[in-house]
Amino acid sequence: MGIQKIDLLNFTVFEQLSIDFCEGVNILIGENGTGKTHLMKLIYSACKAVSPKVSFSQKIVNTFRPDDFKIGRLVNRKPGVASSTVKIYAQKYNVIKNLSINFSTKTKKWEAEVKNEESWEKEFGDLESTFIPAKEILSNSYNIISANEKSNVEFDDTYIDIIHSAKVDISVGRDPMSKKSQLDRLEKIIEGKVFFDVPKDRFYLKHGNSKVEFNLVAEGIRKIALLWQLMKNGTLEKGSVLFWDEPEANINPIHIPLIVDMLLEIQESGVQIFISTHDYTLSKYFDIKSNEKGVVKFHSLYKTEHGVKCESNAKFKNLEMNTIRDTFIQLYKDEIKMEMGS
Amino acid sequence: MIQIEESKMLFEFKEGQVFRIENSILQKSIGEGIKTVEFLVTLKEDEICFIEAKSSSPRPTPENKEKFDTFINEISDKFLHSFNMYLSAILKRNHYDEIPSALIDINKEKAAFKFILIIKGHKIEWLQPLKDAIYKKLLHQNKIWKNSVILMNEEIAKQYKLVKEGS
Repeated sequence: MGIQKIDLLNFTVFEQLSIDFCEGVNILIGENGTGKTHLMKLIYSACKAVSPKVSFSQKIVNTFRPDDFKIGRLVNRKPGVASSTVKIYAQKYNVIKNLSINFSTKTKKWEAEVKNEESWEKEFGDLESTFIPAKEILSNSYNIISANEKSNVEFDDTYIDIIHSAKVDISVGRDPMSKKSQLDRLEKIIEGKVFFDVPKDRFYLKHGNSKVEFNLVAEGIRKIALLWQLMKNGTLEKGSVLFWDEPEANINPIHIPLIVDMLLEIQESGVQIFISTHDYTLSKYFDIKSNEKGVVKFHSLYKTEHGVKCESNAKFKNLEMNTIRDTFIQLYKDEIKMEMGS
Repeated sequence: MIQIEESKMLFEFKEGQVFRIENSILQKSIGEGIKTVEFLVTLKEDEICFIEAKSSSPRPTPENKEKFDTFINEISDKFLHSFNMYLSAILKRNHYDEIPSALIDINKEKAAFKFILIIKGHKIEWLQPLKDAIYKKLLHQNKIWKNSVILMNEEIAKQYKLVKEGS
């Protein structure tokens, strides 16, 4: 299965927008407040709604966490706007289905009008999806799920779900050669393997006989360790969808080429990927490395008088609207100005 | 005025502002194996710019790595050799008669030295990785002398009046 397209009408920062995605790595760029994470959370909610146990509208509320759980608060705040519609298209083999939701500012909690949820579940019921939030959470996973259920703490569902995904038992049996090579490369960086201690409900990084508490490991390494765990335990398998909000956050640029290699290899094995980024190095490496492998599409979100719009292109360098590149250029101009002393 | 055409770019300066180090008597008198930039120019008091012009450069992609490294080495050598040759001349250890006085009579305590590479038709976003690579190659030289390494395309070079406007 692959997410093909999204149509948005008056949803948060978007007034009217339609984006076509590729089957490979979709990279969302754009300045803060252009809705990159909103888009990913929306599509993630649709992916989770393939399960009969999960309602699309409730999942949106749980991933966005609006005040009083009111989905109506996600309607675009422009004066005169009272309702919102979102339609998401997915394809499996030759079958294309869509899932849509409509709600207004007066909609109670998550009681939105959802269309085609049953056929969506029927067609895509076996879909696995994973959302890695920008902030690392495994180091704080101890008791977090029960605390969240009791409303003692408030985390959106992306955090709760990723803890569940990471806790999945390591797959038994030998890893195929391609997967082993990927895991080996990640192990070199994290200098160990992830170990989840069930009785203690805590994650550790294990190296030989010694194990280090996850919260004592650098945050960037913890993020790479999470990727190792998701690959090892079979979460990122063919036909699944991975969402990763700002993979570069807290990761030293030296590790970025390997992260890009990994994501392109995961994509080639049949995983559709959505990432958001503010990072020049990450974007450029996708540009360069996708010449050799993988399918990549950049989606640049930018603000206009009529809400956020999007420009898409297979190449980062060919985007007309590219705030990351433009900032980089301005930085260089400022540097020359300083060096030239005028 | 003196006009210099290099790498399909036109440079124009007042007499006495510029020293064409390439194929100069200074270079020839030292002998074989010495690489030079195109010319030295002073646009401000006590500031000497070493100008190298190129019509293209290899991009730092994996398949271009060898070409890229060769390019960085070649440009760095040109700056380094020219700088040493110029210093040897103003210290009167080598031939210096052809060097204009504005480039000889500098305040040796305060003078700033700038290594400037101008690449025609180059995108600005391709300049930074090249600049970083050249700066790193000349790191010890730059740390000792506090020299600048600056890369420009033709458009920026016109803004700083290095390449002739309207050419």
